[in-house]
Amino acid sequence: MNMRKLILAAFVSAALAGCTSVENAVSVATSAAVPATTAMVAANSFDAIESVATGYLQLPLCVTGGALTCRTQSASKAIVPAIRSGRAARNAIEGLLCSGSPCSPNQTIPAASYNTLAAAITSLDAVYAQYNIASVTK
Amino acid sequence: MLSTAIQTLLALIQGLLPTLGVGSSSVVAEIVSALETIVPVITANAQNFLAPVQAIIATLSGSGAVTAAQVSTLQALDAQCDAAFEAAANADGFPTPAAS
Repeated sequence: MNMRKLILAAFVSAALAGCTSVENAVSVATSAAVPATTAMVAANSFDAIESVATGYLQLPLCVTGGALTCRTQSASKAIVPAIRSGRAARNAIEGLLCSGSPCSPNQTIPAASYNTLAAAITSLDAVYAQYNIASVTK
Repeated sequence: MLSTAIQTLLALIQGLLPTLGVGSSSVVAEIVSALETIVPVITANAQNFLAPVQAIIATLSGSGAVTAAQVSTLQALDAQCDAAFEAAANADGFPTPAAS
């Protein structure tokens, strides 16, 4: 049980670190288009963030005297719509990838689409920060 | 150790993204190698991270062009991540929207 708690703690701790890092990495594009590979990495990074959110939702609900590593309902209420919104942005980007067959080399996608996903990732980071999720892991 | 490994991984991604499309193949190769070093740690302790990391490695290991196979892999990963998230969300009382 203690090992499980340790893994969960590390998992959610990584969530905060992950969101912060990805937010910084997936910065707003200022050019008209971004390379498709950049969009691919961003989309995969979102999937990693979604996996982290899944791990958080699987924690036991916080109760007095309960598990040290736990989730709050208010944080869950913020995380769930943010993930679902980000998912829509991710799917929109993927709809632009590799539309030709075979894929054209040096493919790019509109920066506006990429920035929507970047904004979704930033929004998720804000949700984690707002609910101080890292503190429940310590 | 797990937290450190994943933080290292994400820091690598952070450092990598600005170089994408520039063609710094040697830098990309080094980063992919580092990512692959971390994979066993993730496999042993946090398998939810494994598939996204593998997909990132596949993307970065490519020629620079996104392939149909990569997109297909990404979409399969999406489905897995989405299904796991929705299962957790539903269990917590957040039903999946009908139109999603």
